[in-house]
Amino acid sequence: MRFYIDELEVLFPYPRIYPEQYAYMCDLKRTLDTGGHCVLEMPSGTGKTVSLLSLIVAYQMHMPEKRKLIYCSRTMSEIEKALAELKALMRYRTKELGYTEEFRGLGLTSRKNLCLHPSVKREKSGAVVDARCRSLTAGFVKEKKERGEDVDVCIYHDNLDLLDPSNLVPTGVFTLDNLLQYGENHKQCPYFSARRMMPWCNVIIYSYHYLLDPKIAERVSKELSKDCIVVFDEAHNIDNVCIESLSIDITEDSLRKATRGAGNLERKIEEMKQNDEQKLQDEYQKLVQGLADAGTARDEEAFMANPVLPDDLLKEAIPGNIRRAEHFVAFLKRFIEYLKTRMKVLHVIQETPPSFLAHLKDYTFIEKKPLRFCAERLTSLVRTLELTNIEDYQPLQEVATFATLVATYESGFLLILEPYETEQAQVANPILHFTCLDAAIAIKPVFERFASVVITSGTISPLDMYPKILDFPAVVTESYSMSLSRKSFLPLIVTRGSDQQTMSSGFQVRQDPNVVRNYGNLLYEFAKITPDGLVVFFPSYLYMEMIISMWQAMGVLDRIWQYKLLLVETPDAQETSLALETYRTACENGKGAILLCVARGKVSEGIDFDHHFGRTVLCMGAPFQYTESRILKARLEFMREKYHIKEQDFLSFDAMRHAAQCLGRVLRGKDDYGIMVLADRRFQKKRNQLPKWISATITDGQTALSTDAAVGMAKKFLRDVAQPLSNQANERPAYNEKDLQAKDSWSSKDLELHQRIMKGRRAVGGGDEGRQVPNEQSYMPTAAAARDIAMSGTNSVNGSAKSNGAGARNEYEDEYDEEVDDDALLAVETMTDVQGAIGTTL
Amino acid sequence: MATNVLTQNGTFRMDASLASASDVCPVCKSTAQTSPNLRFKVSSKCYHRICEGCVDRKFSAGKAQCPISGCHHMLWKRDWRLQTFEDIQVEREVDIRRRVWRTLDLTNLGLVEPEGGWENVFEDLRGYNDYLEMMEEMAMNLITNIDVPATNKKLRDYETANGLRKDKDDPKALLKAPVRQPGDYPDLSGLIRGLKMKKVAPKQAAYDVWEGVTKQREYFSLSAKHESSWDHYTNKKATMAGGWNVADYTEESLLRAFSGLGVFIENEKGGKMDMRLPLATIAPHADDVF
Repeated sequence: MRFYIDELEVLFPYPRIYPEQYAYMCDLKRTLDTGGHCVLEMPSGTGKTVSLLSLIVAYQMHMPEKRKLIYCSRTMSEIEKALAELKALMRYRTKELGYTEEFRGLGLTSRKNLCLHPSVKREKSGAVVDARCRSLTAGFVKEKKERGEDVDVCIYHDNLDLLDPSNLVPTGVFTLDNLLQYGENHKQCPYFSARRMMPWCNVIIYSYHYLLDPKIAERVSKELSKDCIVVFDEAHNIDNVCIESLSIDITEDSLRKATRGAGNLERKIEEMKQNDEQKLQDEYQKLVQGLADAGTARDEEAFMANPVLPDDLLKEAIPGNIRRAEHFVAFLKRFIEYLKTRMKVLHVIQETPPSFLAHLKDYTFIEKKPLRFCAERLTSLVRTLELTNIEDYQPLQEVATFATLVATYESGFLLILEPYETEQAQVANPILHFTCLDAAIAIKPVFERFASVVITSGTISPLDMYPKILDFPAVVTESYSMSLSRKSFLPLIVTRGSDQQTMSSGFQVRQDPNVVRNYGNLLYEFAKITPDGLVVFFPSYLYMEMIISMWQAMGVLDRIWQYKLLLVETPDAQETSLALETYRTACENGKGAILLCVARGKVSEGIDFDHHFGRTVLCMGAPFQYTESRILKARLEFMREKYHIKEQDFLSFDAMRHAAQCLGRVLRGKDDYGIMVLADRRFQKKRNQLPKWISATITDGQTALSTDAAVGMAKKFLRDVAQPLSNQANERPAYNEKDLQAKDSWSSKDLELHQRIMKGRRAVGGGDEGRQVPNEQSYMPTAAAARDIAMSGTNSVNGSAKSNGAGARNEYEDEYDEEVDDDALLAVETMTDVQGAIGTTL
Repeated sequence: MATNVLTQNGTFRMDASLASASDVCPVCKSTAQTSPNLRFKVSSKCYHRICEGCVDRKFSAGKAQCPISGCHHMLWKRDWRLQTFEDIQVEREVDIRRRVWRTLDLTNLGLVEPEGGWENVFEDLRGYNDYLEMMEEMAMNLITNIDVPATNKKLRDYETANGLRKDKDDPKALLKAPVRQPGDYPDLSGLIRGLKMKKVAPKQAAYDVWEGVTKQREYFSLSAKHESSWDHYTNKKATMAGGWNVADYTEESLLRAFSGLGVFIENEKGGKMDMRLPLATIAPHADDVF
């Protein structure tokens, strides 16, 4: 369908549009117009990607400057999905407009997925593919070839040089498969085609890491212009991605390997001195001149990229004491040796980079400045030595990266040395964690460089948390609820077992047999009533293992087996995928199955349980992080000091986003239905921290349930949804706002009506485009509108920071591990009872 | 096995002296099994490693030869110290570096680290980098035993020229520290190149209490004797006893008679300051106690 948002014509590739999709586009357009960053939350399965793409493509085509779109997603499958959506959209546009637009859309993924070289592509590990590819395609290999030496090259890569560099692939959208196919047909490397074509693309779709990880971003995303529109999809975990990209763990083993690498380098230098002294001399001369000149060789094939060095530093010359190759290797060796001796501690040490540097200088006379250039110098050396078996130098590179980071950043990082893996361990296995505490550091260049950054996901509540922890100003933060013609999911908060004892996975009670039995019963009851698939999420592997073994001893598992097959997720990826496959098979046939998994595991993040693969999701316990971890503690402290986020606020935010992510797994569209059970007393107070589309549908009657009550409600719900789904409401023509509210998707006629109504209302309200009246905050008048008013705290425009939700306000004291406040609970219950009684008598 | 010790002020001392399982003392052959808490010491001359007990036994009586066969170093007990790094080569390297650093430290030349780091005492960054490289070069030479005498000589020359030698064995060291002239290049030996010249402050004139007002009288001159009616008082003891001096009196009278000549009201109004105004009006910052 075609419609207009203000003056912009949008072509939407489906005949009907959901109200929330329309609202989403309006807000997106507002952000792009004003220029700035925004945070948008839209329920999973409501076509977020397609609305985003169709609006931005329309915007690009409408505006003369054609701002480029960089769309970042998390996993391969999501990238492929987005590419397919884009392709369908462009096909639709061509059909509607009657001509083909000049448009390029490409996806980028690792070499491993895009390699065509007959032997390299057979390698299993991504690192090996990368290394082998480099050994065939690096600049010096080509030079050697030109000199007439006999070296292996990749014909696919070299063919690219024969083509016009601005037209390696024709216009149009290429999915990864298309790209591979095209590469095969034209004998050109898909990976390098995509990479070199990036400056000429209208839409680029790739993984977060290409933009966030400073080691990769430098190489891949450097040339993107400033006015790009950057979208981070599925961004609820973005702060962790940022932190991981700047954190390094060093073990004794990696130091040993690094020493070996340094030894190899030394030998190579000796060899080269004998054979080709001139080359080393040239490098030396270059370095004397300054990094900037040497940097001309910072090509796409650099052995490793360097963590963010400030620009002014790059123009400086390498410090004199690591200019000569042999000096540099001695320098590295000394640093590694220091780290090795440093690892020999029997107690935990935490220190800041400045303190580490001071100590280092005292003992080894290594100063900050040469340390800072370590990574850059190593790159240059490797290039000079023309090393091909680069994977051997991985640990050495890690140490060099560590050196550079530790000398570059004074705050926002912490060194934690843990001599033992666990508290009980007797044998020392020291790990030096160099952890980034500030998620804003990695993402800062992105926000600074690009005019519009959109952060979006299905579960990103509370919305004001992300601007805080990522340290950016948001122009629009918005959460949309889901418009549904029927109640298609049932969220329940279960706090007590059948015996009225409180259920919680809190630390004090998690081993309590009664609690474990109650959880077992809950699972048993739901296994009984749920058709097909049931997914269970536990807070941790440890807890899952414990509870399963206790269930085994109690005989709970035997009872469950009567109804469903049980499958378990393990940390091992292969085992898990096997379990998943079996689970799916079991759901297709017969009684169905139960999948026991972990809230922060692989399953909770990337796997969809649509339709019969997931009819019930059970969250057994609130997925709080392991709060005793030193890294987490350090981060919490840092956030309290820098961003004034209380520890409890962050922990509960983190737990709830993971819980929401788990819940979102079962509902992947409007025709889907499912039961969501949150089984922990701690959810009771935190339900307002769930995304709006879930929390808005939780009525008071669905909270603080006992197992029996929950089962009763679930039974009723299942009977309701079992009725045939009528589409009448959507097909009936709409004449007023009320008719529109009854629909969960609009045709173009409906949309026009809606736009007319909105326009009229705006005219009455003084012609202001914004939403001054809280009742009008949403472009869509949904059935849940009445409830929205109560929840309006989650909805803040222009960053006006309200506290999130009514409940969160009085909820600062934590409950995550405290004693159960039975009296308070009881009081609340009696209150509701009394109210209920009054209600009935009235 | 090595342990690092946390000292009281919160920093830690790295210590690799505890024996690991495979360590054997080359002198008494004791191991971690035979004597728990076995600790090793390292000689700072020849970098041989023997256990603490052997050090006490062999060196308590005074200077002795290193007990490792084939090593002829004569050592004192104080030459044996605890080990910092596990790798003895690094231990030695760091010692050498310490020596080179201490010698070539720029503070020895009377320089102070400026705001933006040491590179600012050099003419340009290149000079600083060259200095770093030279230092590294020397350290590496000493470590890898290349040109040791030449390098040592360079260092010695540098020390001598800049008056840094304190070695009592060397009679030359008794030379007095060279006197630095204000215009001298900071490094008197010329080893470190590219340093900025120390700025020589322009010589300040002595403070003039009269701030330019001269005693020269413009309109009159005092002669030795002026004719006057009170001449007879001049040599009278009674008047002189009171401290009265006829010459002073004459000068004051003349000054009063001629003061104000050469001062024009128009000029004063135009704001032009006449340098010959009385002192009190010239000093603008005369303290006003209130």
